[in-house]
Amino acid sequence: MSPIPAKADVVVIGGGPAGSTAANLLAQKGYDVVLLEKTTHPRVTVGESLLPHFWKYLDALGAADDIRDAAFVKKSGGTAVWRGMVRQMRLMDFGYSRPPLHVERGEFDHILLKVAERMGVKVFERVVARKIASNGSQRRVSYGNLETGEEAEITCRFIVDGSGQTGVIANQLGFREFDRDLRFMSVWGYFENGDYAAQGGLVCPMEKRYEIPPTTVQAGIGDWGWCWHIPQKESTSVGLVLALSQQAEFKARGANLEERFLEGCRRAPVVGELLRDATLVPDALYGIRDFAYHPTQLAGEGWYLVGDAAAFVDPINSAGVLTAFYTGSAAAACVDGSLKNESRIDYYTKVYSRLVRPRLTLFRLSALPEGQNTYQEDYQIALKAARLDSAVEQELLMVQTRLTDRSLNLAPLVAIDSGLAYNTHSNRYKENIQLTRLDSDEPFPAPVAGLQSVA
Amino acid sequence: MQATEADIKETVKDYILSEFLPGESPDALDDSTLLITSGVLDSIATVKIVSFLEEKYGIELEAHELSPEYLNTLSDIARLVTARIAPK
Ligand SMILES: Cc1cc2nc3c(=O)[nH]c(=O)nc-3n(C[C@H](O)[C@H](O)[C@H](O)COP(=O)(O)OP(=O)(O)OC[C@H]3O[C@@H](n4cnc5c(N)ncnc54)[C@H](O)[C@@H]3O)c2cc1C
Repeated sequence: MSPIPAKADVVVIGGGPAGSTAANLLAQKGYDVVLLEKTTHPRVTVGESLLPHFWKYLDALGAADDIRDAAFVKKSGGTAVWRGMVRQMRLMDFGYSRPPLHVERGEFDHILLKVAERMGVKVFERVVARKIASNGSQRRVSYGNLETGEEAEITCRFIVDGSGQTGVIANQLGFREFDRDLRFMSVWGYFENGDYAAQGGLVCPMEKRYEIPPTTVQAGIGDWGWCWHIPQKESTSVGLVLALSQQAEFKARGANLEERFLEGCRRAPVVGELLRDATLVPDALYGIRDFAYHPTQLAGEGWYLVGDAAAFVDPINSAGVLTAFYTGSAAAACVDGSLKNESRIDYYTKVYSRLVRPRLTLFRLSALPEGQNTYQEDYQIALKAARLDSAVEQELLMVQTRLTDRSLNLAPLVAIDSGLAYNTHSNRYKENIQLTRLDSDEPFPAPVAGLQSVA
Repeated sequence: MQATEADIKETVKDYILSEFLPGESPDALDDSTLLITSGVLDSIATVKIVSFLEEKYGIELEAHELSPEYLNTLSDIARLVTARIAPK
């Protein structure tokens, strides 16, 4: 590994999708970019279901061919099991020409980081960013090299923080607020074999996944909790998202985490049945808690927060990685503009907040269980992002929220602006789907009506 | 000589075609094509267009002007730029 330079135009903290995106785009513009990553890729992380608009970001990053060649499992859409009803949507119906994917994030993120390096980013793994400091137009990032034990600094003009939940800058400056409306924990693991749900309610064995593309299944499991089922190349990722009120019950059921997790999966409607003949991959259970938060400030004197380092809400609409791409790209455009014209630094800081704050607010509204928003001003803020989305993107968000009973959260936006596509009745999803097994007469049990409980 | 609205539309059209619609025929865009609401430009593209306009015409726009209200068609953009470069 070459020595870590003492100077750069831009230092990017974190090598997840958000950090890689910002670093890659700025290197393409010819800036000298250093990226520090605490771990060694591939590393484990959650967030494996990707909506189709991510391809446009990959085009800009020069990563589309690399990702296509990795042959991730193509998904066809979503299946939601809510209140005893099965609903489905097909993403092709929205006119996307390239498929949404189920990705192993270790591999996916590693590819993006390697592409960033190819574009000229100087990537240093096993280096942890510690603190930032500012002095006039100069910034400094102090870091620890976990390989050599060395502690040192890099001087730069801009810092992009893509450190994920760690949130180096937001924590240092005390900008992170946890969301009192969304207090969740999540536990997830991987299953081999078993079945998955395809379009038309067809239940197929895992070996069919490249022939008959799977859907992402989301099943409500009582209160605000839900469960995901994401078939991938080798195994299926299954996770439980549990509301605060469910956590005590969850902990009481089973002698250890593995037993509790298996019991929770077994009780999830439809998902439990899909996993009937599946086996849990041993020693690969992960957990995360209280992951919903947002910052009081998104950008400031020479720094930008991107991806999860800025904010995160409930993952129900699979928007996390897209938001990482979005914020990484927006920050790159703003840093580029600022470096070209120093007199406009404040303008770009403002532009970034004006773009990103409404987007995060819109995601938060569309993720909250219906009627649970305690911030009335959010509707006006979210409207700014909604208006910048194309009609198809608007309809997709509306359909997604319909599938999981959250679409009423968007109604106040339509009341303000009837031009939004959140009020069109979309025929791009179906209700009351009957699940049937491929090549088998054995019936697939209908989900029990009413909310299911994990407890 | 000051750029006319027609010049501005032409310049911005070339920029959009080369930057955001590579390979697309120039006929794909006319003065009233809805750039934002039809998905030709996403919100990040609006940041880049404004940076381009600022550099090209030596003007300064404001953060709130990055909205479909001012940038949704080539005509809207030309009107916004002309108003800003007009001698006060
Ligand atoms: C339960 C759950 C389910 C989810 N499901 C989905 C889904 O289906 N689809 C989806 O799109 N999204 C999903 N998400 C969201 C998704 O996981 C995240 O939004 C996404 O990973 C954010 O990318 P990022 O680059 O911001 O952060 P990360 O991917 O977390 O990357 C941050 C990087 O920074 C590094 N780092 C941290 N601290 C430092 C430091 N001090 N110095 C240097 N490096 C550092 C880390 O090692 C890491 O590599 C889910 C999230 C949760 C919690």
